[in-house]
Amino acid sequence: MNTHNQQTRQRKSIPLSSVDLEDRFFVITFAPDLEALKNSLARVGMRYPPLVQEVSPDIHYRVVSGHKRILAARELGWERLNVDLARAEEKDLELFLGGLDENLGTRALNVVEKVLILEKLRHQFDLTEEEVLSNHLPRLGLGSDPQTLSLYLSLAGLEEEILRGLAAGELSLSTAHRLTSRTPEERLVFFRLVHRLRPGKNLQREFFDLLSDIGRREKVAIDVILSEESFSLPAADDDIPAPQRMKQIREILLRRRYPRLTEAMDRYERLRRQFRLPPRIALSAPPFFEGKDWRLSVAFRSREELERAREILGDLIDHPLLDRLLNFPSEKDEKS
Amino acid sequence: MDPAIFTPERIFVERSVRDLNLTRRLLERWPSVPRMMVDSAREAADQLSREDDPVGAGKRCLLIARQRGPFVKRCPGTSGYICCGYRIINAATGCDLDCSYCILQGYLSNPLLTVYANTDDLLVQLEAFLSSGEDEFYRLGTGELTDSLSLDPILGHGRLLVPFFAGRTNAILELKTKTTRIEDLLGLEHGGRTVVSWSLNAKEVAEGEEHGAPPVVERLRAARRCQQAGYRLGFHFDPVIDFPGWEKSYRRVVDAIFEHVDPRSIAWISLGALRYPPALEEIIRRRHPASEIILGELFPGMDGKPRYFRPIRTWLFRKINDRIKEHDPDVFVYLCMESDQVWRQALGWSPGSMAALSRRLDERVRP
Repeated sequence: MNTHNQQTRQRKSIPLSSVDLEDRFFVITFAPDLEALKNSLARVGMRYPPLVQEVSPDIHYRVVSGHKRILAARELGWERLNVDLARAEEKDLELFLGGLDENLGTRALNVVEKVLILEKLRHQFDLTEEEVLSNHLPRLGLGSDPQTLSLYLSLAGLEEEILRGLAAGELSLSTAHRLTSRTPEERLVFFRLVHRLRPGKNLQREFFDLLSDIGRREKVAIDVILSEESFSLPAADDDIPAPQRMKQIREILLRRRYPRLTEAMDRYERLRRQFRLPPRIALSAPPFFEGKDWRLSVAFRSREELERAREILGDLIDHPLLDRLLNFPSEKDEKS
Repeated sequence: MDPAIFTPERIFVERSVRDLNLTRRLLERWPSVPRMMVDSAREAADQLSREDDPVGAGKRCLLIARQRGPFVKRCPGTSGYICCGYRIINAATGCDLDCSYCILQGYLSNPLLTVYANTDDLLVQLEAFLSSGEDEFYRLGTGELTDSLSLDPILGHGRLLVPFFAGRTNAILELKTKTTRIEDLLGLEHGGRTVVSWSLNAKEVAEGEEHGAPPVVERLRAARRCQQAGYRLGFHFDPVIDFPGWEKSYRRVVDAIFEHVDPRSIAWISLGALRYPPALEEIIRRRHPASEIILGELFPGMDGKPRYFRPIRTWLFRKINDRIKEHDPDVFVYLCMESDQVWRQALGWSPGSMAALSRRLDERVRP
């Protein structure tokens, strides 16, 4: 159908300035990289003219497809370009789906472009959820789960700065979805932390969940927490490598989210140090002090080292603090 | 005040039970409620799968089904912790109450409130089980996968089971509830073989997390009426929640128990701290966004389920137990799914094993 339309559409040369690039009614391109396209246009010209819709004759054209090509042409300083004109009887949805087909056939869409497509189908073209789920979500490679549709649609309201981070892969989809429940200020401050430190998907999620829980418990907004010096200083200190800063911030968050566990772990460390075990003998408490299984590992290189380890283990068993260690944390430890 | 009794928005009926008595009775009760015949519970559950909140939707629907598996099962307990050796009677699953912490939200593949209509099979299976000689004594209850009494005026499980257990010397039935729907129980011949139990919690938790359940004081008034009708009573503080002011609040509930009932009628009081399968946290966040219970210091236990950091649990249990013992040192208090270490640190003793705890509980209710 598209080929047929292309054959019967009028092709004309129009001033580039008459194309309204701010009008994004049909546009799904987001944060495009124009360099390769500009090189191609400079070398071989516009081989496939964009499709536009005439809004007011010869004055205002709306881009149906080829938004990237027009942007690249503008950056190259072109003043005129050849376009195909959509016929008056062609319906908006038909044009949009034609443009979508063209995009799907020629390139991979980024996450934000998929958000824009689903948002337009659902709310601009008023397709039912059922239609989108059965006809369009699978075409975008997203299956047909209503929750996936709901997740993508929820992202449409995020700020452009955040969407750019999402499109660039700095921000994970699940963290972006979590951000939708926060205020614009909270979203931006959190996103800027991610943008600066580039934590991976799991760490982003952990940071967000820790901040979110701390904020709820203390009745403070995330942006207010992140503006505290303990967070803002390490976050902004570009002299320290990002992984180290992330570790530092994570440590502060964990201490604030789990004060009793982290205090107990500090006390445990102090107690454990009193046994003066050498680095090659490691004693580990059950995770979170839950359970019965302690672990002891001994590294040795010779019979002599093993015999020495045996002596150390003998001292460990006879140590007056061993029972206290094995029952840690007890009420006594809590009070100390 | 007890909220209005449940009326389903839709009823699903498995074809295989459409002619059974309970099915007919339920359909006659709600002649104007839309109903749909289905071949299986799965088919009914599929109807809800596209809802934004299938769990919430499932609470507003009723599935009348056939119990194809055994009606009586061992409580699965949890690995690494001391359990009480309970048996579950699966006469219904799901619940019309909507407690934020309820594990049923993530536990059941079928989110529908489901009642099994083949009650003749239930009685046959119970008879066979109690005669099997597997154990000397059995504690069984209907309140693990549902609230035992929330729908009792409609389903009639009390009328079915209480007289059945009345003459048994080798078993006790426990009906666990958060509701006050005891009217049907009061006139039944129970023979002292039924314990009616209430799940209790701090006022803040009951009001904020136990949606649809009556206030604790009303539960205790209902308990008093059951005691007056000769029933033994049980109380379950489960889940105990750590929140600012918990100590004072739980102390008030303990005091209220002893203001309302004679401690000699209390078979047991159990304490269990908040714990849940890991997947439930996301469900709580989504379904109960105002709930703050997940903001506690919870970490994976030996069974992988998040539970409070051990010293927190120990402290919660000890304070509640101390208050109970101040009222009556003879009341039997036990911990639900806790480690030997926590038993010792919180209560000063431990049964050491499931078998030993089970024996202690059996002794409380043997004839």
